Amino acid sequence: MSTTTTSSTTAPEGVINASDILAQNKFSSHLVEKEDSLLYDLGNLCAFDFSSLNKAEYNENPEEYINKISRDNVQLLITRMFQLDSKVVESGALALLPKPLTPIPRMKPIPEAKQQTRWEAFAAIKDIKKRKKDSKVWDETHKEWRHSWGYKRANDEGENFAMYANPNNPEQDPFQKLIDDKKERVDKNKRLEQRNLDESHKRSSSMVGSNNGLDFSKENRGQIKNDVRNTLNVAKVSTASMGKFDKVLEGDKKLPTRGVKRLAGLGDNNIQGESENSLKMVKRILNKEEGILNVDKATNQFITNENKENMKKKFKDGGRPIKKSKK
Amino acid sequence: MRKLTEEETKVFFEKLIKFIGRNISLLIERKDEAHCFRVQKNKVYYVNEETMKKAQSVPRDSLQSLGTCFGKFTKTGKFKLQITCLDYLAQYAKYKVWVKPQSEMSWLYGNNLLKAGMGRITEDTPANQGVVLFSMNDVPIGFGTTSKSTQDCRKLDPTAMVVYHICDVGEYLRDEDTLF
Repeated sequence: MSTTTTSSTTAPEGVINASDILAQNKFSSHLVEKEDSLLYDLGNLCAFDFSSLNKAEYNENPEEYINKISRDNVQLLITRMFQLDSKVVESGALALLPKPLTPIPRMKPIPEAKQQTRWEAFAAIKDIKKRKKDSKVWDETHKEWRHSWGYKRANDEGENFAMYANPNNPEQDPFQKLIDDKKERVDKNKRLEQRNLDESHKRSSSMVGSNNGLDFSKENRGQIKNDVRNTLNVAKVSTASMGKFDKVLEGDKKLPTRGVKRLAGLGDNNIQGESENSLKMVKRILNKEEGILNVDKATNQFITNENKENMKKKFKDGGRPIKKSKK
Repeated sequence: MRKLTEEETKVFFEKLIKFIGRNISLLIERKDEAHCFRVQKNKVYYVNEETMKKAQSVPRDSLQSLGTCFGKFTKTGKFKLQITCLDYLAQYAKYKVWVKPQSEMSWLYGNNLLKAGMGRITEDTPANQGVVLFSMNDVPIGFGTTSKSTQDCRKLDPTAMVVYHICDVGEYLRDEDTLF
């Protein structure tokens, strides 16, 4: 208890007084005794010091010298920032930075402009402007505003329960004609879209191998390589069996099989048929293996036969075979 | 659980044929009870028909094991035999090697078999042939592949490797948790 009473008379423990720190002189003052010769770019929070180094001082203790200069410069920069206009927000004050002076290059290259489609090019020549269409249109039959296209659109001819037959061609089904015409328009649009795409890339997948506008410069090399590989992969399996029975060349990679691999299901319980199939497979494998000449066996047979014949010869010549002395 | 695909069957049978040759047909068409091979989570099991039919009612994710595990397919599509198939391999093995009692232990710890430890070997075993190893009193203790043919083995010095290790019964203890 006695300790608490003594501590309450001075400062409570754990609380630091600013005067204590100043007395210890741990931190340098915010006032810099240096001529302010810096160039400021406050927009980028930058300052540049162009003054030359003091060689004598630098040689004495380079690290301390550099540290001292840097500290002073940072202090100057921060002092400058506090002189700027500020805006008070809830959590404190924000300095209003001026516009940056130093231009900094962007990290990524500027994106290339998209190539114009044929219509855009034509419209630019003819000075045709894009106009916004209203999304809702007045429908006379229903007497209400309806969407200009899509489900329940205004003035939908296909909705009619009857239509006039074409007097020139009474056999024709007018409803079917509507569908066919629509399909044709969609197809045409797709075709033109693809053409625009091809023209913008100056190439199409069907044009690989022909001189299709890709020169052999460095930036096209990857694309050309890719095209050739893809075409080659297609050409490889373009046989009657879709490449199933083709010989694989040495060093050639096996192409990934396309389509879903069919795994035998659970429901098939025909073990009899299964084992028959397996036996067929075994037969195939064994036939393949036994087609190869067993060199070891053949040489062994050859050697024993030769030995036998030699023995026979010796006996024929008369006299007993002489026992060979061990080497 | 499913049947093996054609590709899988080929790979699997080729591996088995290395050890038991033509006898594989005895495994496929058994006289006593119909058996089949089934794949479950990359492992190949040898199951009799009855067990297989019962196991069909178990969902794939929950089915842990069935029948006898023969080995498993690696991610690259190769097949690896496991020690659990030793019973069948030993029964039908084409080529056998008998191991001397003093080097049995070394084999059971996963080492290759040296010439010094080889007691007997089947006549005209070719090189790089799958063989089943037996102790001298005819207890199967694993399988491997020969490095030399029987002919060449005679000339070798005792420290030369004769059979490369593939599996040994010591794995029943060492790999207990992943074996079945």
